[in-house]
Amino acid sequence: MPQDRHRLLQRQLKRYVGDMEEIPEHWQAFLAAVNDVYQQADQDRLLMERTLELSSKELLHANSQLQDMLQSVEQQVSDRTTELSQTNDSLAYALEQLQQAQWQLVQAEKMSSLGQVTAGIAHEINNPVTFIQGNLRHVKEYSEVLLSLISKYQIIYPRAPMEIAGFLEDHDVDFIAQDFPKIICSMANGTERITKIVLALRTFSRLDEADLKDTDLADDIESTLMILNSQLSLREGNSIEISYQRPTDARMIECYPSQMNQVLLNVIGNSIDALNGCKKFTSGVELGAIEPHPFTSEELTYIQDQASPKIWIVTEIQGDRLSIRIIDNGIGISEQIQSRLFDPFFTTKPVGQGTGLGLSTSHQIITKLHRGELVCRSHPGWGTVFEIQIPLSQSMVAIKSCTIAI
Amino acid sequence: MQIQQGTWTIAAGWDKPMVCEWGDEVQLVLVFGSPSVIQESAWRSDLQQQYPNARLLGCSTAGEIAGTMVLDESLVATAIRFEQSQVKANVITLSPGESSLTAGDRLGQLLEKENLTHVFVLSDGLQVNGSDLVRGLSQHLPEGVSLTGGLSGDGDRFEQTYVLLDDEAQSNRIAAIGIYGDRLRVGYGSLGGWMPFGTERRITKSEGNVLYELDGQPALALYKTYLAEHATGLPATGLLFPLRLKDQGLVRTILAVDEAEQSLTFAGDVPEGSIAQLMHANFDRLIDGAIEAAETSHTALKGGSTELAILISCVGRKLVLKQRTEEEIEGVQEVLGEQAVLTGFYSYGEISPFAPGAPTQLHNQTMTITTFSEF
Repeated sequence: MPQDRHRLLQRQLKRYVGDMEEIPEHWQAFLAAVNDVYQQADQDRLLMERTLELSSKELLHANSQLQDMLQSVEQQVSDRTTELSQTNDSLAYALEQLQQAQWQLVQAEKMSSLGQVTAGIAHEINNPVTFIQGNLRHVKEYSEVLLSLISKYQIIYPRAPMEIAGFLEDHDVDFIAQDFPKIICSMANGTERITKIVLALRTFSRLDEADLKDTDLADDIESTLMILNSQLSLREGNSIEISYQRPTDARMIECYPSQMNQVLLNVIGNSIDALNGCKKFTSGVELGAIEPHPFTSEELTYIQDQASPKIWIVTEIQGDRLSIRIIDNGIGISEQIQSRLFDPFFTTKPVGQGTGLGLSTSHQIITKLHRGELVCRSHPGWGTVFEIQIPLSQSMVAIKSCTIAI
Repeated sequence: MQIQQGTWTIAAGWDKPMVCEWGDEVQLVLVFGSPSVIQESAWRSDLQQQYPNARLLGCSTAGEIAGTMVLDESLVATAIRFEQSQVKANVITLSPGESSLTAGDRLGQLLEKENLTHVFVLSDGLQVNGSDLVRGLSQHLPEGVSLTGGLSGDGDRFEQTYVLLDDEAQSNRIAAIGIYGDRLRVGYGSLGGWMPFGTERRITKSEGNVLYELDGQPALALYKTYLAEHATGLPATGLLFPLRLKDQGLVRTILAVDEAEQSLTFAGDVPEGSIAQLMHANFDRLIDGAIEAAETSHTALKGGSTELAILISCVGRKLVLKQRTEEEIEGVQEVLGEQAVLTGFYSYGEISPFAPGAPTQLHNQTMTITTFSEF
């Protein structure tokens, strides 16, 4: 039927055939077949276009869903990684804390036992020493009386019987008379030293002083030096000279005295070790340039004294803090090691000689327990300064931090 | 092998006289006709008279193939006199409620196995799950025996299909012939030429060959969206978008729709959990697919010249190719050679291995070719 014909076919027939009436009847079936193909092609094209459009939409939708899913997965992975990393960090921190706590417990136990032993020894020694010291005065008096008596006898009876004269000569009584007061004096010095050592032991052990307490740390510095005294003779022959000027007036600091002693022992002990391994005092090693250096001008004047091994202990009040500087002119510490100095279990000492916990525990005691600072300034080859700074009063710090917290 | 072929229509009868000197030696006559024509009795009596000793095997179609012609509303009869081979035939009628697997199993039991070379099966195209039929039947085949065939058609109506063996054509039937002898070479090949497009979808709800949901959405709704105004032509227009089952490497075609259930019935299984993708076609790809199937089946004859080729091509291809349908048959003829006699039909399902050595499967939307050569 012409009216059902495809518009293009209709136009083509009009253009190329002209009069429709002239198309023979037997061509109609052929035209119908051609018409079918034209229309089918249109339908196929429409279907394809629709298919393409729908399919594109679906693919775009699927793509966007995938993107969302990918983002969500990435976010989940990122969250989980952060979570794991945090857990890992806190586990590592917890482990470190545990190890430190364990070491501190062991140390505290050791210090406690050491304190008990030293306090016990000090107490036991103290009694006989007091006894000796008390009687020594009488011994001096009595000996003076007896020597005076002999002297008087010799004046009154210048010619002594042979037997007496022989005895005096045989036993060199004249020498005894000269030496005896010296011996007594020496014994008195000895007992005085024993008394000082006992006092130092008692101060250092700080038995029953684990709690916060007003303390004059000068006593602690002196007792620590007394304890370390035996280590001051170096292997190479020289002795370490300690320069410490005890302040004239007492400075009472609120602190944990037995813990502070532990810090002083560790830090001063390290300085002694730094000087012990130092070849520059014996073999004249060439020192490098001092500039640049991290020291204050005051510290520099100490450190530039490179004549013989020395440790200077300088204490001063800086505002509301007490500063204790332990300065040595030893081998110094490289920057690389300085960055790890307070890490737990970090040590440069041979296996078995250092635990790697001395300085890390000291750091903890100063920063955590006393809310202070422990810093190190060093120049390899020249020397090292450890500076301890703690607040004069712990309760003042607590009040301040509370105020900040509020 | 001697072959005689003719076509019959209600209006004109035979296109040429079906007469030959060796008529009583013909063992098999293949008949493929449109549902209305195949139910006629006139052509049958002609054939039975002309080939008194032959088995008459055939089915209804969605288009008949006679040489390179594709016909509608006709019947093509191909009389075959094997010189070296024998033919035995069996038929079963589906019992009410009988599964396709059981039916295939039953038919398989009837087949004589000794000296069996090849089995060719024709089945009702709407009442049978082709996948199950193949499974049931295959389990009875001795090693090395091949199976090809197809599901009968009903034009683009999808209402009723018929199968016949000797007597009148009936629905709910499955018929098979066994070809016996060791001087016969059989080749086969099956290829579609359809292209998957768009997103991959998961079959989220299905039962056997009934598909309910893709990606949790009603499958029928998706087809209607793509078909737009063509949706009124369902289920036939559903053939424009066959479904590819990615994991199985198979293509499935729609046989029926159920508006109430929002479901689609396919010619074979659409297993739940499988990944599916819609497919489309263009002329060139379909024709290339047919040619490639012909090449596969020809190569399988190992140098033998194709004497007879049964072409079973999907109704979906005819729906797309329309006036160009014969081009795929011409392509096959060019590959197989002028001496090859072509017969066959447009079907609701094709049964064949993809290539020699592969297991037999139900295909859709393919051109499936079985070639025969005696030596």
